[in-house]
Amino acid sequence: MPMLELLRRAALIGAGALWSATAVSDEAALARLAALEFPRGESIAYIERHSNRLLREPFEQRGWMWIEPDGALVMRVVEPRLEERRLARGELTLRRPSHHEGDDPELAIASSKPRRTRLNPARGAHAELLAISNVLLGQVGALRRRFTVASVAETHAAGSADSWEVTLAPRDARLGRELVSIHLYGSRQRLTALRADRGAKGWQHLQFLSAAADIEASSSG
Amino acid sequence: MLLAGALAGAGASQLTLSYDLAAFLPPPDAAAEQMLVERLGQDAGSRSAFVVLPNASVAAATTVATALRALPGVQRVLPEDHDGGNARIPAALWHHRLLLRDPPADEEAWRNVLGRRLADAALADDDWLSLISADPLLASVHALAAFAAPEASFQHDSERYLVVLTSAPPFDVNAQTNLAAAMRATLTGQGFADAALYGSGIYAADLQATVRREATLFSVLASAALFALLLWRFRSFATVLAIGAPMLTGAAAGLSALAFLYSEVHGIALAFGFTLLGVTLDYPLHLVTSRARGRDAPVWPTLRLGIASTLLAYAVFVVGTGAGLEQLGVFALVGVAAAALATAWIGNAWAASPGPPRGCAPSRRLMHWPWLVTLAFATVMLTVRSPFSDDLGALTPVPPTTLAADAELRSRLGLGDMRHVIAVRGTELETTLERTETASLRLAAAEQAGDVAGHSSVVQLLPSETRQQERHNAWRAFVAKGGAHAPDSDFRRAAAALGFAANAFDPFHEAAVKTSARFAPVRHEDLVAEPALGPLVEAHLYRNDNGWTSLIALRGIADRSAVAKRLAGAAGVGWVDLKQASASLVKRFRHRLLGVLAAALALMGFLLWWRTQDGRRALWLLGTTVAAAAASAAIGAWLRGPISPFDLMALALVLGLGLDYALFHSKTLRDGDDQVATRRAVDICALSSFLVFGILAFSSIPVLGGLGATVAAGVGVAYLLARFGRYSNSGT
Repeated sequence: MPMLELLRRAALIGAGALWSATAVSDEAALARLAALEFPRGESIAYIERHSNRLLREPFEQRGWMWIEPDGALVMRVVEPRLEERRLARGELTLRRPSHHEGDDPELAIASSKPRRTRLNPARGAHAELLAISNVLLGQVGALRRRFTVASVAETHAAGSADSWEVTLAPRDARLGRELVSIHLYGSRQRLTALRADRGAKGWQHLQFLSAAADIEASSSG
Repeated sequence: MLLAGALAGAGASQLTLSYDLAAFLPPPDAAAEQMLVERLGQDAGSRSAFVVLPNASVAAATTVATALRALPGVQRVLPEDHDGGNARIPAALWHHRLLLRDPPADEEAWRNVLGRRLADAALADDDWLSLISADPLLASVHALAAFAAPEASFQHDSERYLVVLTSAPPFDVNAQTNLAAAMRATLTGQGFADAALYGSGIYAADLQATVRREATLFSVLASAALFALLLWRFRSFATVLAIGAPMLTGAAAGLSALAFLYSEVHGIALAFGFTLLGVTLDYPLHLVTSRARGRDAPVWPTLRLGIASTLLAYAVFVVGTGAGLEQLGVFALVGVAAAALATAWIGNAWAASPGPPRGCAPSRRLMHWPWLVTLAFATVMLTVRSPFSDDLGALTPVPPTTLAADAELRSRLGLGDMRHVIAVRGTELETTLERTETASLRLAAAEQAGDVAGHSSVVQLLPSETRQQERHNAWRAFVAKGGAHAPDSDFRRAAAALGFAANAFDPFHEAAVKTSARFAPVRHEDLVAEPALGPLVEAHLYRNDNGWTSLIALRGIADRSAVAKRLAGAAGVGWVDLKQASASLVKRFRHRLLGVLAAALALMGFLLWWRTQDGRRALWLLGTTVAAAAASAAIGAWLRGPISPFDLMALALVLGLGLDYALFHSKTLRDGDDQVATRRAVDICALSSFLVFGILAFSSIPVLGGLGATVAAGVGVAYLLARFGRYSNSGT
């Protein structure tokens, strides 16, 4: 019954879209995000893993992340290849030095050509970058506009009292086909990890290593 | 008048107007000048319109861009989201993508390329993953990106920018007008009524609207003022209509002549042709003023001499001055002749008039001094402050503030250096492309050294066939070894080491097999036929009588001499400084105009001397006319800034009018009544011209305002010199 199946799926998508559009965010979850403290003036180490249909195994990148005085979020990948992503005012500036630009990463980044991309919030990868930027900069209003924000009760029940999980679901149904959800994991007022789920097309996981122990643990693991 | 009006209408309906400034410029001397003339208004950025959205969010800018893309005549709107994967890449590029870039030579090179794609994939959506799997070199994307300044920022402070690439060239004013109106309506509909638009096409459209508005306004004002003046003077509608008839007849004849002789007429030739016809208003004025006193006979000899001198002066424009000035000369010459005949017909006095004022008693006094003093003073003024500018940009009617904002915007958008360009020439297309590849390689080295930020050349879209053949052979070898599927190939080892799945690059493998099966290079005609690529290719590669020229645009020149040094010795490669070339062209255009004016004066002087047989009078007439023109130029230079070539064209009218006043003030008169009648006729002629051009001087369009100010000042000085510093033939 392909036609019936088609109708059933259409009905489900329609219902999902209707729910997304009308869903009300969890005020407690929003308050938790608003209270997040991302240390200004400090660099936070992070590990980023992602998987997509072209990869046999997840790809891992390591780097440092910080927020500049002008509010720009900088993610500098140091392994396996040097790269800097700078997110400011809805624009991604990517600097990717070539091999012959020296060993000094600062110099190599500074002398590489910037490639600027305007971030389109309707696209999955761009929406994800914007969401990361919004979360780390405490821009709860922007998150509320684009996502339904909800606390996940199971985590509270299973984890320690200090740990929490918040889920962001895109309000736009079209975006929802590319970016199913973003899960934020934290402890007290600190964000510890972020996972973007792209359904069958892949996922991306960011682990923030604010403490030396985390870095050692991740290195040994 | 009705017949003349009908003729003018019929003539005008047959005319095809052009706006190519090159028609007015002298034949180019150097290769750089030739390139400038050939490419005037056809540079890579000339088909772009720039939209500045104030206080716009990313989402709002994206929505506006989507709405603009739907407009007819819009080819692309930048920045583009590659959310359609390869759907946005023109087919000619996509099908030949593997011939656009050298394949990596070994495993290390493949690992470098694929490592970048791995990093790309971290920020990619599914459509981009599809693109990567089919084109891991991203050859098609890079070929297009070379022309889009990837380092450009489409935002500054709270403003966001969009670049609209249009299909119509900027000189297709009707298409640009329609597009500008559609863009403004779209922007208003999206809540951006305050968005600013820049770009050559927008200026052309706005200028047409401004010219139409101001031309209508000033025509109505000037006509009303003139009508009121003449009605006050002659107190008869019929007389006023009769005075206007010769000029209208002249315009009709001029238009008909242009329609008959030329398939295409330049707008400037027509506009200035009408200006030069202004002198014909004086003819019926003299006649009517004289007739009012019942004695028209004394007018004709002087009038005929004035008409003949004017015809002679305007005839100089026709001889060897280039298409634009030639059309101007033909229109003015035919127009003045027809207006003179119409005046005679209206006056019905041509046949009855006596001969020229020969045999007048020679002057006992030497020339009067005022014209000499005026000429000397004007010469000093023009010497102290150089009256001329060699800036081709000064010829544009676009306000300087708009041009400055335009330049800043282009700089922010990384649209390339507007002044310098590399021209690569060859007799054959293939030679030109090979030479361009050599230059491009050297420029890539200059980029690595930081001497220049970037460059864009046509070989990024259209490599030489030799280079494409080399790439084809490389892909054949790649496929012969098993292609992307061969387990021990450099490609496969690199992909596996980076964690790519075994089937990740199946589409790429298929493309390599297809490319290697048969050599089918991308050709010039393939790209030109693509709506999205045609204008881009034509802006960077063109053919002329001497062969092919490829233009390489530069971005962010840090060390010009270092770049020039790298290019030195490359066959067919030349550095073009467009500003220098344009300055040289404008200078020679000005010299040509000054030559035309000098020749016209010399011929007028000879005619005056020959017909009056009075050397002193001829000298006074010529001196007064030249002094008025020089004073007008000096006043313009000191009050309005450098004199443009258009102001020089306006001086031709000053010469004609000045001679008219001088002739009538210096003629031998029989009695006091004649003197009074003549003086009144000249008074009304001068007053009417001063009034009309004085009103035009208030136009906000620089060319029109300059024209009005130049002629009004010239008329004023010429009248004063003729009236109060007049030649006195005391013998009669």
